[in-house]
Amino acid sequence: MADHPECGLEAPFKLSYVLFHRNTMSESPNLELLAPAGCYPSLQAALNNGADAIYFGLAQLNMRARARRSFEGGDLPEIMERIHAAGKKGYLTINTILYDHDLPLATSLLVEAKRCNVDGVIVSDIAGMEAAFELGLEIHISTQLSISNYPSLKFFARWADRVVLARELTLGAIKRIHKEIEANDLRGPSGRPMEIEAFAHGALCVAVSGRCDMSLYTSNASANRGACEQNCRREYTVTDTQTGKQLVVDNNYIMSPNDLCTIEFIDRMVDAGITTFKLEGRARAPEYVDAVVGAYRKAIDAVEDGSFTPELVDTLMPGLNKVYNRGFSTGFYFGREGGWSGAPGSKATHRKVLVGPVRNYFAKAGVVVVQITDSKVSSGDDYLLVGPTTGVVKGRLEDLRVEGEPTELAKQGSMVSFAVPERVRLSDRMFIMVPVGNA
Amino acid sequence: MLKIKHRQKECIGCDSCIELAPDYFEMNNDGEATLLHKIGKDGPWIQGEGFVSDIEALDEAAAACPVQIIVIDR
Repeated sequence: MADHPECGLEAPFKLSYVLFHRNTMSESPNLELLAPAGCYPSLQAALNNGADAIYFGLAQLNMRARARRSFEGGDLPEIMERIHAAGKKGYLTINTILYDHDLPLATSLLVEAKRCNVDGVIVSDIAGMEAAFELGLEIHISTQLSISNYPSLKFFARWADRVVLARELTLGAIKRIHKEIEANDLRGPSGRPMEIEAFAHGALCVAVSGRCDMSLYTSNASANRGACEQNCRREYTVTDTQTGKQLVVDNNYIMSPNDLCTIEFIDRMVDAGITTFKLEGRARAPEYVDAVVGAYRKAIDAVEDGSFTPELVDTLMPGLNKVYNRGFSTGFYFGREGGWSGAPGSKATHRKVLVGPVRNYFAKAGVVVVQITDSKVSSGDDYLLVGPTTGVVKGRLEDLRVEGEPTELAKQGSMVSFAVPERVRLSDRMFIMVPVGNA
Repeated sequence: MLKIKHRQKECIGCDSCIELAPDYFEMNNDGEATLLHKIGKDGPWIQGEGFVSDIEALDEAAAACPVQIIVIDR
């Protein structure tokens, strides 16, 4: 990968430099893989795949207020119980702009967050920050504040232990901020050195770190209050209003950036001083969280133990391509090198198709019984079993049986049984992953 | 009378309906608009009544709702 002039990183990059550099840092914090969760299956998938921490929103005061997958305020105790039982950290996201009428709800959510031992709150509005600070909650400054330089970060260090930097920064700019933190021994209220969090994977926005008013202008739906209508993801033509002629442009999706993927250069992210790797996608499906967390876990572990190689990345990319994506780019980390989505929706190589609900599970034999209500299944299909407690269990269908008899194909209306590697539950549903185009 | 339907649970608290039809909506402590003059409930919908003479304000409130959770039945 070519270095951007703004990047300030040497090429070719040497992994040994990363390891040496990290070993010389005092109080070098552990790297943290931070996963999104918008529902219990996603939360469980994140935990099962080795996320170090989970972030989530509640009610309408988060940037995914419109999302179908969304937790309610009453879910907080269970969310935190599950996260802490797994020995992980949970961060509550309250990062919308807050109006006066939002403050009672924001305050009550923060009080509840304190009671449930939330490990940090991600805020952008100063009112939310002050309220959280007064309650003694650990504060992480949201990317919505677009922190892009050391003095700004230093300003917020009076209240916050971590800053999610603006998505538009290059790795070089991040590295310079990190060096300033080290040189000045800048610490947050906890006494720990200030921590840098940055996005590692997921959607990018055509506006500065999500601060967009397009949806507000067109539909009164403020993106800054989690109601983005995603106008930028639609196809547009340019029309000469005098003649009515439409101009042909190469890419009609002129405002829809492709997605960020950093797995290829995650070692360089570490070297730049990023300690928390944030995966975007609270509105994404559980299998997305499962695949993306799993891939980045392996990549970060490899960076930590010195085994990170391009060959490893090659083995991880098919899993990322399989789930929702608009095509990938390096975001702004090397200056803007990436492109546009060029098409509506996902470019995932596979899509999931509902098979039916789990009807039984024999724990000793490790066999599940599924009622096929929607789509037939064949031996060799890749399956998912998804549920609020299970998260995502996946595998390839082998030794398929209908009423105890081996079969290659099980049709709609039948009860199919097969062995699964992990416990599943009656609340789970089965899907198969079908290559796109083979619906 | 007009029938007003409102899915309060999905409100994101933008305040528009309260600005446009203050006789029919008010903000609660959870930052959600709540319908005044309620007459019943139908699943997720809270139902209320309005004067025909207020149709303009109510239509404006419904049109301005960013999450389309206000319906006015004539």
